[in-house]
This record gives sequence, structure tokens and C-alpha cells, in this order.
Amino acid sequence: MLKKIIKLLILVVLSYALLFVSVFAAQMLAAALRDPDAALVDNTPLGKANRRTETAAIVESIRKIVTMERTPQYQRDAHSKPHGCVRATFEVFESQATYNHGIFKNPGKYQAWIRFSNGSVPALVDTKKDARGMAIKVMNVPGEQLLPPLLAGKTQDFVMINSPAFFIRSTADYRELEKAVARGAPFSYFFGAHYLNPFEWRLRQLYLALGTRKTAPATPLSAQYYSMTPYNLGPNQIKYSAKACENYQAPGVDYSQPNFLREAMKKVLSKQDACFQFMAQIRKPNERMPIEDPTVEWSEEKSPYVPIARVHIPQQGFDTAAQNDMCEAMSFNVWHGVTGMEPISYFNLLRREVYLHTAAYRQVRNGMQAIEPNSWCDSLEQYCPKASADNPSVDPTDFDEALPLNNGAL
Amino acid sequence: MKRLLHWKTILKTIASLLVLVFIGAYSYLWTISNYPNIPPYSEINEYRFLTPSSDKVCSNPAPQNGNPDDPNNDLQQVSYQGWCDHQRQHYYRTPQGTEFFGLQYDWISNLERPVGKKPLVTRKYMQQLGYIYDPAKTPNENNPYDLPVGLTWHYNPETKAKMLDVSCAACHSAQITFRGTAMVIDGGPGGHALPSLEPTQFIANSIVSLSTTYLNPLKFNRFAKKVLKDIPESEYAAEKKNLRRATWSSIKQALVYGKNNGSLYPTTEGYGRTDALGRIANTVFGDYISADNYRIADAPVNYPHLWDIWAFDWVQWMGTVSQAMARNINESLGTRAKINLLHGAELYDNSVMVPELHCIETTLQFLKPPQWPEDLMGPVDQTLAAEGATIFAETCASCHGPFPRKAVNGDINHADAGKSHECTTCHGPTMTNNDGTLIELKDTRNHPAVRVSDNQKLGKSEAEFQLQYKRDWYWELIHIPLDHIGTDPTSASNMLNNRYDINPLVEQIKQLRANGSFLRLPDPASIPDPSKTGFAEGLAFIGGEVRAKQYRQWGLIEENGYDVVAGEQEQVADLNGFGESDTPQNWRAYRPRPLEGVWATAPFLHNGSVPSIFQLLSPSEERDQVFYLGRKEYNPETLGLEVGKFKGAFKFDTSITGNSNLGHEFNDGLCGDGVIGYELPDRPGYCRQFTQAERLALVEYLKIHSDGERPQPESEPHCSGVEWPNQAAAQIKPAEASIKLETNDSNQVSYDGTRL
Repeated sequence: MLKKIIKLLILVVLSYALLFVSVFAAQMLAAALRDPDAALVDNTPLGKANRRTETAAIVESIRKIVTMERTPQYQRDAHSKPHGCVRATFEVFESQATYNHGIFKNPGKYQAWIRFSNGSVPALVDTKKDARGMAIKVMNVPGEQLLPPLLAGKTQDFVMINSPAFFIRSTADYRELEKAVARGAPFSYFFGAHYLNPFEWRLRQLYLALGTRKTAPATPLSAQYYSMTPYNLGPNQIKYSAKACENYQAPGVDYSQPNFLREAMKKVLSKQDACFQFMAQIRKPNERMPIEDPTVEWSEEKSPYVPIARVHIPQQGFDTAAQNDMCEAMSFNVWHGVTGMEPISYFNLLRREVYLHTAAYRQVRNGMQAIEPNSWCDSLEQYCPKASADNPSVDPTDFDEALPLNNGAL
Repeated sequence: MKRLLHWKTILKTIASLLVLVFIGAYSYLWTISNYPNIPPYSEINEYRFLTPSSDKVCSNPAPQNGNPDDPNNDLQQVSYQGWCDHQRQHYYRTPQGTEFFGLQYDWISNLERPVGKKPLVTRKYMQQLGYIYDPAKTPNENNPYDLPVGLTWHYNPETKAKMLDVSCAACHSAQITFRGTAMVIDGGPGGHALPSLEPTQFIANSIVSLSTTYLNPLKFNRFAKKVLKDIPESEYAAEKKNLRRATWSSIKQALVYGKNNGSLYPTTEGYGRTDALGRIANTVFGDYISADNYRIADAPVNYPHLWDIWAFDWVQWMGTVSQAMARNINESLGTRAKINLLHGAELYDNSVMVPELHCIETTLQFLKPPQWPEDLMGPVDQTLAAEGATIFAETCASCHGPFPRKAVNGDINHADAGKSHECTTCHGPTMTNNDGTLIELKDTRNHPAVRVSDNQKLGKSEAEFQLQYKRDWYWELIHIPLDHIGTDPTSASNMLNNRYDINPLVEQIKQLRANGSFLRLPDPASIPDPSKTGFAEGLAFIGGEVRAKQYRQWGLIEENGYDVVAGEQEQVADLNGFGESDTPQNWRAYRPRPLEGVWATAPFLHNGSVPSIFQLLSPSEERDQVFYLGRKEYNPETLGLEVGKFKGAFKFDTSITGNSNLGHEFNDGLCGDGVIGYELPDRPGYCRQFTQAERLALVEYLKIHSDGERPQPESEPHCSGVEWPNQAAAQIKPAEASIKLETNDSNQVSYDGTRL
């Protein structure tokens, strides 16, 4: 009798394993065969209205999650763990007409902040697999801002993680995920409320999600980061990416420490400058390069990334209490930007509301008032250029090569 | 093996299995007969109404001391909430034509519990389930069996029986208790679980009991004796046979309903809620037209409170309907009034009782909001309330109004009005387009076109204003888009997104038309494809036909068409409700209403997901994520219910679809997307939460908040067509029956082209 029961159990487990594999295979196959955007695009008034309703619901549940995860400071709803905010210069190349839109219309050097982060909330130690983020805030950018004047500064933000594709396919799916997280059961998103119903499994998305969690690079400066979602660049659509100029190493850093990425970055920047290539990948409308479905990577064979700017991170010290606080108060939003490079896709529309609301919520709850800075000096007084005899009035927003780049505490 | 197959063994096995099943079923029935999972009974020391009038304004129908010269005579009485006793009786006992699986009125009080001889429906049991009794009346001619308010009967000529009729008052009357005193709040949100199929709930238990009665001959004999007590001996046997047939038919109807509807309501409604729109759709489009039209309904909503609704321009949580009669007919159909939508000859035959609905609707014009009972729940701190009044004016009044609008006779000149008025004078501060986007009123580019001198009003098309002046003015209700208010979107989304196939009905109409019938087809402008009919459009069509059929019987509209007979326009306009046309609008929005008496309507939000006003004024993380309903013990500190755990409670879990308690939040950060809070004066666009002190001040103020002067009804309720409690009046009206309405107005209004 007992034997029979055990046999039966084994049979059930085996058949579920088989089912698991076949559902996964079927979902992967279906994803490979379908036109990725076909089922997602819905621009009817009803579709639009439904998305707006969904957006409000998502913002509400994220506000709830942010409240749940406070430590006691209110954190970002994703990428809450910073490795540091570093000063950088964003140098726009003179490039072909194709890329002459938005910020890339005006070649030159801009002051910028870069925040490196771990993706998971609540924060994970660096030794665990995780998504890593890189957010660039370029300041004093000429052009007409995308956000209304009340919310806009003169900045252009670039927000990226170290994977080229997102694991959630649609904003409706995102709503489901947020619901699951708010319930405290994130895995029910992938396996359904009762886990055993194969029709509720999202195994492809689980596979992609696991794919975005990677072992940490040697330093945050040594990876390649991707925008995942598309943007207009004039008449074209692009995805962008920042790739480390070289594989920076930080010898002597203890890679078993929970915060080794911050230590490694400190080590590198204490000795040398670092840089990233900033690149754009143009969408070819006839290729498999969907706008709405961020789970589909745009092939680099069909359309390679082309460098259009360079991010220069000077040798510096950044790990001061004041700079870390400033970093946490700052908000990055793909909608901080100028016309000519508008975020597109339903996901980016959703991000507009989510990012604006969570940032405002966090800032008001933490008692901070963060304005969009126009210069390093705006953010931290220590970076204000000192007036001197031959230069009595210095405008901190004018980018000046001569500005002492190393006046942070080293 | 051979022994196992021996007939004796088989017989024994079968016999013992049968015994086991019987014992199992019996003990199950025994358990539910003892109500294991319903809220406990709480002792009522005093049972009373609220808000007596300051003068004795009502004549006493049964005075004890009728001597007019005696100063202590009781010829006159006070009204409560503006209602005299006869008006209240009309509200409590006037039927509307609903039937529940053929359950008959006389059965209900004569049913025994499934096991045992104790009666099923007792005051105690029904009060435990949240039903309400008339505090003033013990059994009387309107209510011979001492049933809860709203449970009444109508005569069905087909079954030749008095059918159980659940009328408006059953779901739109509230009771709160406070330390042993129970207060009935007329027009307040009901607290029972009427639609529930739980076997210990009223309707389901009646069916279970009826089934055991049917199966158990002894029980049935007792039942028949009581039900047929007035039948002469000679006819008893035949009547008993009929009763048995009717009983079986009733059980069958309930089983069919259970089979079709059992799995449609995954979000448990619990006490005080029903998925009103979802159930209406599943009944009308599903039960009455086609099984393909059943849709999951997972958006339970509170029963809205009814004072002042007659003064609103839009009713329903989403503010979708503007005509009272249309709303009421559709509700009756959804509450299982019968209608034939499938069989040619008698198409649109129905049991909806239009004069009764009109009587109830006009009676409600006299209902006033309840006032805070200081004698019971403590005096109001006037200083604190005054602080609350200031905050209310700054933060709440811009949406909750009221926004009194002068009623017009259809000759408003919008061009002139626009020159001398701010837009907000007419339209309040916030209003949405039909798709739910906010209209920025000052922004003429986004302002919908206003057709001048065309009876056209913003947001409405083809409004008929002929009788608006009869309420002197009305209250405009504004629509707040879902993505702004951020409360649970399921109800609005279901209504807007679901589509129904009404082709079986359309086919019938087409056949009839081919044979010369004048019956109209759906208007392609609102229903371009009958296989994908929207909720509001479909109901408006069917409800319109019910209306037309009744009016045609009364000779108010022409015999073979839809045009109003000359001279009857005013009567039709009055029946419809101030001449409003029925042009439902699919707002993707919820509708804030004026707040006088709102303290008595817990729990809050359209889906009842927030147990008190104090929590409603707090950020969502400070609201109860899980709470327990089923008792109505009031908490005057929070203006809400006591929602601690108790045995037999309904557990309200806000994480379930349709139950979200988010939105309408006074919280920090950017305003919008669910945050409506206190806008920071130095940082426009940013909101902050209320301080504890501000919340307490608002709570204090809402006890005495007044909406100011309200529109006045013109005369008596229009109940002359309803001769309740005379049995004949409750029968479906013959064609010659007419209702007398006051048509003494000399106002010259053009009725040309009035159509239904």
C-alpha cells in the first residue's frame, strides 16, 4: 500500500516535471514565433483608458510597497541600494545627422551625476546575484523639457540596467507582478496563485527574470548597461547603452564583503579616471525589433550599437555622507529630458507616472526637497568653483574644463 | 471474491452506504439549521428611528386620544428623517415586481428549519443576518408575518399566487447599533448578504428548507396545513397537490440558477455588498437572453444611501444613469423581476411594477439625511467641528459639493452664459469627458463642443428639461476619473469592458417586424453590433422597451409606436423623472456625492473597503488590510464600524480583486493617481497627508455637516396608482388603469417631438 502511494507520488512529481519542461518549451517557442507586438498594441480609446486606470492602480500598489519596505527611510521601489554617486562629464560627439536630436544636437561637454545600484528591493548584498543599475543625470541641457515646468529642470536622464531585455512583457503583466509583490508573494506571479495550475505559469518570464540576475561585475565601472525600452531619436527609434571602456579591476578588494562593489569603485577611482562609451542602436522597422515588448532584445547583428557620446568619470572620492545623502534625495526619470528624444512604448508611459509619484512620495515622506540640479555645485556646495582674482564671478553651470575635478575628499 | 459478489453482501453494502449518506446529509442539515457561521445575536434594548422633526407634522392614522380639544391629543405625530408613517410604509412595503425562484410570500413564514419543527424565519435569525425590522410596527396589515422591511409581495396572475417580492427598502435601509440601542436609518446602506448562496443565508436556506419539506412528507403536511389554512376542506387535496407542484418548480428554478450562476462571483460579497451591475448583467443578458452572456462579476459594491439622490443629475457609483425610471426598471430586472426577451408573441412581457417604482421614487424625495444623535452618541465638540469645517471647505467641498444648479426650461443660451459666468459656475471644478479624461474647464481647446440653444447640456445629449423646474434646482454631480481617484477600478472596468450578445432578442424583433410589428430595433448609433452590446446601451434598450410597453398600455404613447400622445408629455416626463432622457454614459470615473449624513453609511468607498471615515482620511497603509463585517456596532470616535474579529464574521480581505482599499488617499507626494490630499500651498501639485488633529477635526465636523438648503419636492409622493395594502392594487395593472398626476402647471413648455 505504502509502496503504491510512493509510486503514485513519484508519478505525479515526474509528470509535473515533464509538464514544467513542456510548458516552458511551448512558451519559449511561442515567443520565438509570434510577432512580439501584435497582441500588445491597443490604441483604441478603450485600450488607452484601461492602461490609464492600470497605471493609477500600479502607482497605488507601488506606494504601498515603498511604505512596506521603508528602513526607516523611504527608499526607491527598485534599485534602492546605491554603490555611490559619482561626478562625470557627458561628452556629446559631433556625429552624423542621424543622431542629431535631443541632447545629441548640441555637441560638447556636460556636467553629470551617475548613480550605480543593485536592483532588488529589499536590498541584497553584492555577493548575491542581482540586476545592476546605472543612472546618468546630465545637467544644464538646452532644449524644451518633456515634463511640465513644475516638475522639470534642465536635465537629461539615462536609466539603464546590465541586461538588454526586461523580463515583463506588458504593463498589464506588470500590474499583476506589483499585486503579487504587494501581497508579499512575488513568486505567485510566475506560478499563479495556487502554483499547480500550468495555465497560470509564466515560465518564459521566470527564465528571463533569472537571466537579469547576474553575478556582480568586478566593479560597477566594468559592465555594460542597457536602456531596455525604446526612445525616439528624431525620426528614428533607438535603444541606448553605456559600455565600460575597459574591464576595470580593483585588486585587493575583498569580494566576499556585502558592499564590495562600492569598495571596488572607490579603489578604481582613487587611482584613475574611468569611462563609458555611450551608444545608440537604431531600430530597423522591418526587423524583429518591437517597440512594446521589452522582453525581445534588438539584434546587434541587424543593427549594431554606435557610439555617440562618451562618459568620463574623473579620478575622485565620492563616498562622503553629504554626497551619499544627496544621491538618495535625487530622482532619476526617463522623462527628465528634452524633445527630440522622447521615451516611447506603454512601459515608458507607465514609468512617467510611477517614477514621478514614487520620487515625490519618498522625498516628501523623508522630508527632503530635491530639485533638478543644474550643476555639481547645485547639488553639493563643495563642488562650487572658487572665485579667484582672474575669474571673479564663475558661473557653475558653464562647463569649464579647468574646473578642479578632484576637489572632493580623496 | 465469490462472497463479495453475493447479493446479500451487495445489498448490505448499498444499505449501509445509504445509511451513511443519510446520516451525513442529516447532520449537515442539522448543522446549518443551527446557523453555525452567522453573526451572533446582539440584544436590542431600544429600537428607534433617527431625526424626529421639531414639529408634529404627520397625522396619526391610529390615535389613542382623538379629542381635538384635549391639548394632550395624539392626532399629530413627528416625522422621522422627513417621513410620516404612511410614507415610510410605502417605502417599506410597496413591491417592485421581483421574484426569487418562485418563492411565495406565504411560504416564507411557514417554513421550518431544514431539521426540526422550529420556524426558519424569525426576527432573531433575520436580525443576525443583517435584515431590519420596522421599529414602530409589530405585525400589521402591510406586514402580517412580521418580516423585515423591504420583504413584501405582489400578485402573479400566472401562478395565481402572492410572490415574495424583495423591494427597494430591503437593501437601502440601514441599522446601526450602539450599546444596545438599534437605530434604523431610512435610505441607508443595507447590511445583509441577500444574494449569497451560503446555505445559512436567508434565500439559500429557504430553498434548502423547501427541499427538505418537499422530500419529507411529514414536514410537507405541516407546511401545507399552515400555508393552506384558509382553503376549504373540499379543495384542500387539489390545492395541496398544486402546492407540491409549485414547491418542486421553485426548487428546480433555484437549482438551475445555482448551476448557471454558482461560479460567477469569485469575490465574496459578504454583508452589505452586491456586485450590482454584474448581477444585473448576468440576470438580464445571461439568465434572460443567452448562457453565452454570463460574465465573471468580481466587483461587489455597497448599497448606496438614497437620501437626496432624486436631486442628483447622475446616479450610480459611476454616475452612469440620469433617468430615475430607467435606473429603477433596470434594477428591478436585475433583482429578478421577470421579463420575456426570447419568445415572439409575448415579447417584453414583464413583472416590473412601474407605478409602484414611481411611488417609491417620489416618496424618496421627502427623505432627509439622518442627523447625529447627540443624546445617544455624545455631544459634538463645536470648536473642533468649526476647525473641521474650514478643512472641509478647503479640501473636500471642491469634489463633494453640493453644486446647486438652477434648473432651466431648455432655453438656456450657452453663448451668453459663457460671457457672464465662470465655467465652474455651471460645472463644478472637476468634470470628465466621456472617456474619463479630465476636462480642464478653462482650456477651451479640450472643452467639448456646446451646442447652443439645442437643449444641450455639457456631458449630456438630448436632455429634456421640461420638468426640471419642478425641483427648482438640482445638484450636479461631477465625475472624477479612475486614474485620478485611484479607488478599485474593477466595477467601472467590468461595466465598460464587458460585451453581451443580444442577437437572440434582435432576431425575435426582426421576425415580429417581418410580420408587421412596429417594435423597434436597437439604435445602431449606440448598438452598432448587437453581438457586442455594451452594458449600459443594452440595458437602456431593454429598459426603454419595458417603459414603453407600460406607457403604451396606459395610452400615454401611441399604440403602434413610441411617440408620446399629445397632451401626455408632462405625465410621461414626470414618470420618467423630471423629463430626463435615458442616455446612459460610460464614464470611466466615480462620482463623489454630497456628504450630509455620511457618518451613518459605513463602510466607505464604493466597494466598502474602508471601515471608517477616520481611516478614509488616512494614508492607505494606515487602513485595515483585513477586517470583519456582520455586526453594525458603531464607533463614534472614528465614524465607522467596530470591525474586530468575531465568530460568524465575514472576513473582508482588501488584497482580493475588487476589494482594493487604495485610492481616495490623503497622502504625501504628487497629487493624483490615487492621492487627492491636501495640496501644499508652497508647492503646487504636491500633496501631504492630514495631521492627526486635522483628521479628528474633520471627523467631528462630518457629524454635523450640512449640505445647506436642498431642492424641495413639489407636492405629495405620486402614489395614487398604488392602493397598498389592497391586494387588487398589487396585481399587474390592466390596460385601463391610469395614474393620476398633478398636472396643474401653467408653464408654457414645448413638448414637440418628445420621444421615449
